[in-house]
Amino acid sequence: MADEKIELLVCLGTGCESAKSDVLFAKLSDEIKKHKLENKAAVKRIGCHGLCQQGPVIAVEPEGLFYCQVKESDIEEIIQSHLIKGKPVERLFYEHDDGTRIPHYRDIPFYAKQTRVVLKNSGHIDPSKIDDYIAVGGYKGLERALKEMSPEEVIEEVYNSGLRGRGGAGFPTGLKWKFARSSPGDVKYAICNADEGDPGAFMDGSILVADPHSVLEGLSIAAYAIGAREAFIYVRHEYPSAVASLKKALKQSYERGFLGENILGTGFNLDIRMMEGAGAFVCGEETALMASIEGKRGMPRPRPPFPTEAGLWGKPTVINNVKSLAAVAIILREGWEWFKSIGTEGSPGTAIFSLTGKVKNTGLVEVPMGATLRHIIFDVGGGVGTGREFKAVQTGGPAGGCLPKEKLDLPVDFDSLREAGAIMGSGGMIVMDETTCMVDVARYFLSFTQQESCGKCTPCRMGTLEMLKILDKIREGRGEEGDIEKLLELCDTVVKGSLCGLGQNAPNPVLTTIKYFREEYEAHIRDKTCPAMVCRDLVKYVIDPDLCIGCGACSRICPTGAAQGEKKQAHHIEQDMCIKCGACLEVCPPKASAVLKIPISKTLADIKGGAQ
Amino acid sequence: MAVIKIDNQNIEFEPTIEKTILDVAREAGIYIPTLCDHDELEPYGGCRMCLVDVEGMRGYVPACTTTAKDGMVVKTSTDELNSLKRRILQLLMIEHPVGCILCDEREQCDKFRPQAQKAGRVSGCYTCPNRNHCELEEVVNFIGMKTLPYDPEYRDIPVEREDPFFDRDYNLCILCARCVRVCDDVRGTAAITIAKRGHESRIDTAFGTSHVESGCWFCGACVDVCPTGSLSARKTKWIGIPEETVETTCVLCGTGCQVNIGVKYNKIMWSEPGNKDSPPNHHHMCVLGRFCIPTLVNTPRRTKNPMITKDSILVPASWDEAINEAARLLKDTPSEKIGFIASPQMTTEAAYLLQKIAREGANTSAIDFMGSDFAALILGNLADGHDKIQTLDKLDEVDWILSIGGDFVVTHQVVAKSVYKQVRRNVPLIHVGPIGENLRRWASYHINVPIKKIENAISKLAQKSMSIPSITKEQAERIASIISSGRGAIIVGSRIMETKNPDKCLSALLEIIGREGVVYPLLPLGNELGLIKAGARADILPGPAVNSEKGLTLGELRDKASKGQIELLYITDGSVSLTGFEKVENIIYQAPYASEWTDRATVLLPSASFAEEDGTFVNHEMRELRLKRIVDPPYHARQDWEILQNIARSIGLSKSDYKSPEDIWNELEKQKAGLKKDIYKRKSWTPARKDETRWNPKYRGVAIAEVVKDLKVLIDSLPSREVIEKRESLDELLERLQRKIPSKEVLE
Repeated sequence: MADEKIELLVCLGTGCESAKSDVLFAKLSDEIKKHKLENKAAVKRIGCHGLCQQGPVIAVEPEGLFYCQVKESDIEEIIQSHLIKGKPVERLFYEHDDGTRIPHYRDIPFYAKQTRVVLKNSGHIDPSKIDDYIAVGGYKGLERALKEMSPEEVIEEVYNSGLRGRGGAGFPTGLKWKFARSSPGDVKYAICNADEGDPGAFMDGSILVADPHSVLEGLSIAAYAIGAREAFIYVRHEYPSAVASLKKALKQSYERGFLGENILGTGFNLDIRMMEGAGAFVCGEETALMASIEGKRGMPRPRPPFPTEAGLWGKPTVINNVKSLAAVAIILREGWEWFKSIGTEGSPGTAIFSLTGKVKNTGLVEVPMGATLRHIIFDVGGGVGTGREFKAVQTGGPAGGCLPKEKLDLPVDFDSLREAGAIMGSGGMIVMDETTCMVDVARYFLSFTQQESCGKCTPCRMGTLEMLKILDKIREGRGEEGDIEKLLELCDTVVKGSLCGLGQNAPNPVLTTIKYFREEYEAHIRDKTCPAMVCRDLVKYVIDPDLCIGCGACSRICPTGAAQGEKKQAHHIEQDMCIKCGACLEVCPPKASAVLKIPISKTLADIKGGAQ
Repeated sequence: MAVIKIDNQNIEFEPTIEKTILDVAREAGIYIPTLCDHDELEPYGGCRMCLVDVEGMRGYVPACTTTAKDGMVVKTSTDELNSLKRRILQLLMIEHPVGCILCDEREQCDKFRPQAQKAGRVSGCYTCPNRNHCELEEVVNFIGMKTLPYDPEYRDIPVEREDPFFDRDYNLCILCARCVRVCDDVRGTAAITIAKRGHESRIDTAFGTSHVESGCWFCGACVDVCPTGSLSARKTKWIGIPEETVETTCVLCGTGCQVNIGVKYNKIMWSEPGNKDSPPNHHHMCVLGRFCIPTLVNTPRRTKNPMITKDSILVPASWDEAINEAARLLKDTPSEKIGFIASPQMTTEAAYLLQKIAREGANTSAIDFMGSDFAALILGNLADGHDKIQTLDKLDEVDWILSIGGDFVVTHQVVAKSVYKQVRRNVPLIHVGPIGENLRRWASYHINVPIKKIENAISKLAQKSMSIPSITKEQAERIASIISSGRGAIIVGSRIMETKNPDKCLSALLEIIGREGVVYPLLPLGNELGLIKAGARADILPGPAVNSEKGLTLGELRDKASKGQIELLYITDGSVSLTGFEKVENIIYQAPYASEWTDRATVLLPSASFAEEDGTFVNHEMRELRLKRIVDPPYHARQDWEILQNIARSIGLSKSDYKSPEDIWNELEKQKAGLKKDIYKRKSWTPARKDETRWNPKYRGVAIAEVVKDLKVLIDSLPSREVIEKRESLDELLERLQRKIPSKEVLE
């Protein structure tokens, strides 16, 4: 019996691709040809496998081996050792905390602790081949819906599954569809919102690259359920690989008769058109997104009327997130009971996060709803990667909130997060350690929403700007008593007064950081110190003359000439010239560690005195 | 009937999807402050000033966008709501100068600094163009904002003064986007938009070009909806409040827009669109009516004194002398050697008197006016009693529109606005003939043929032919199916006269729209239909009725004059070219403006402009509209009807003691005859003059752009707005650029 053919799955997700996995793919293909191994092995391109931290990654199927951080120079060894001699390259396996190597990805805690439902195909099928998707049960859900169920039954199925909108608000998807179905009118539209714009979020983009057909299938089911003949995918222009992947998938779907006229011989017609966004964050808001499709400036309008009554071109419209639609395809395939058995009573199913920041395993994570933050960050994510203390986690992107370590046992679902002041959002999760200043974090997210405000309503346009001014003031050590109260009042104005979700949620980072880290604000305002030593105006760099070995590394790298001193003599930093870039601290040899970052109000003597 | 409770008051209303809480509150007399809301525009929900508390709804909702539903309980003011609105308003006022609103001294400021300050920008209170009617101030006062707890931020944007007619000072802008919405949704021009994001958002053209380049028509709709002083008409912003405002009719084209003329120091200083309820324009205008009237009326080119020729020199004379001289000429010249030219920009009454002097005094029917052919063609063909000519609001009932013979976006902007309303509700617009950018964008189908060939295209349309030039067979099929059902409207421009057989052309059009269809003629000059009614045309008698007597048309008159067979010409329209009339011995020139005729005149009779004259005007909808004497004519000028009445009296016409234009109108009404099909039986048409094809509006002898320099800027930009025959794609453009401009040239 001939050996089963070895498949080398090269991840071409954004993270791995930027680490030159495309070169690996090309080289592997060449080498296999060169060594005439075509009968023995095949190279396959896959979308995001999940563990971006270890990229570029190559999975070897069917054994399920997993090579991490593969370099171009490793290819030869993989060919020689693994493919020719049948001996896997051990040094490329995942290195566990205790130094042991784990050959199979299913044994790596990052994967072992996840529950992959929507991401099941990601990293396993070739997204550019519709047959790969069909082979793993793809389009079974659509077939079932079209051939065995009435639109009402489809809606009932999705409603029973308890699926809630994965775009962030968590509105029951089935209910939304029911509203759109019952809205009067012959012309209706279904839209997939793939305008993922949160800093630090890459779930939707990854799914579109790794498993585009699942989204198309879900969108087709949605269109069938509400009675739409035309559907749109609004994807951001800044996702070129997602755009390319979708284009290919759309073409294949039309060719195979999953789109177009008389789909699967059922008489159902559907056209899906892809629209590219032009880079405005606010276009992820559904009414702004529809305005953008209509060719107008992407500006939200007040709801009601909700899109299900009057949406795109005034017609009833259902608009769903990428993850919701991918889940729909699975619900129709596996049945609502199965889906509902995952997750919690109020939020069934799974939650997908893009885990980033100061975490060991950066990557794409899927866990059942109700899993705790601790599970996601520590069990799956491997904890803070820097060796420092965990400080906070930001969920829900720029409109979400920062939760402290006291909240680590909070179950992650729509309702618990909102109660804690954060939001589920579309699924960004940024981990922060003790070197993060919470005032700085709040300012960062606010500056993002401030710049991305469409300018239509005053509270969002001007309120966020005023908040930003106060935060800047605090950060620069000019904070006054009463600033926190002023901030809270502005937050209230912006939350209650703003037109759309962008403004209504923009103060969340400020509100949660004040709620959970108020003492940090107070330290900035009263003591003019930044406890995390981040705020540039509140720190200074000094050289301890007792430790300095006079190597001159600091004076060579200093861009302004502030670090001065004779060779072999103790150096010092001229504070007037210092721009606090921190280069000196970085280059100071560890054996000396003479450069110190200290609060601006303190002297070296204070610090040393305190240490004694 | 549904019931809604607003501030503990039960209000009954008829629920519809469009009826919002704000609408119901307004009808009940409950004031809810608003800034971005405007009754012509769709609800926007941006300013947040109309937030209300509705029981059972999450958060506060804007009253302007929330549909009123039965049983709603609404509170427009609670302590928290008022505080929220005050805080929002404070945020809004960070970027808007607050001196005029919050300063303790503002009343003294108004009192002791009465002189206008022509500063380049507005930083305080007195120099704001809107200081006398500021909507923002009203809202601030209502909400009770007393302080600004934030540092004011002056945006420091240079005042934009490069474009004609109006200044733009976006330092005063509150981003209500009314201007953008009226330009986009109501006028269909889309010249401006909101650019940039966040607090840098501002009103701008695409890519920051000038308004002339961005396709603005300077209709002034944006200026009229602006709640602040950001947009202001340059000529009038510093003058203050009018002492008096009178609504009258603009005669600068056949639309007959109602215009509010503002008067100060007994001079016409403002022209603004007429009231919202006044048809046909309903508070909208074009560049001519909105910005040109004061300059046009007050120009030094006006004729000032009556003059007569003494010893071959034209010298000032008294009115009596001038009238007597004119009467003498009329009496002494043999009737077959006298010609009359009326002006389509006169009142109907004055034109009636002129034809009366011609027919009863000089005993000739040699009277005509410029543009009478088109007017007569329209009336002649539509005289079969089917109410073909309808008012513009009837456009709301049509299922499709066919336009032909001119680009009404250029020439008749108010008609264009009414058509755009239909385009917005997806009524197919089919255009035949050359068009400009806007119409191109609006038209569902464009049959792109030169004006000479529209006749052929129309007859093909009428035959439901599938091979129509410039469009595909599929398009022709779709057009055929559109125009063969429902109620259609035809918008027909005067360039139809350039075809070989305008009669046949119009008949084909009438065949297409059938019995139910309606026709909107685009009269280019003004009161053409009024002059037809007054009988100021050789073959038409007052009423109008058919004249079997032989008279002379303008063309025939010119021919005869060039042969030296005309001795006396009585002309009231300086816009008629002098060419061909050089040999006429005596010319009585009665007009408000000096022109090439002035120097040739034997008798010069200075007359009033339309804003200084009483009378009536018939617009393209056959609507009779009033002209009002708002101020006295300048210098010694007199109203046309007064001058003509004096002449009639001097030559001894039987009945010539009219006390007012109303007397004349009554006399004309008595002769009113029902239109009959045989009103017009002409075989040939005066060929249209070539130099008249590009839009360059004239008013009684003066090209408006000569007097109003800003208008010239707009007219000069028109060639660039005509449609490029084939559109280049971006790739084609890049390819062409690469091919044509080698890199070397770029370097040089």
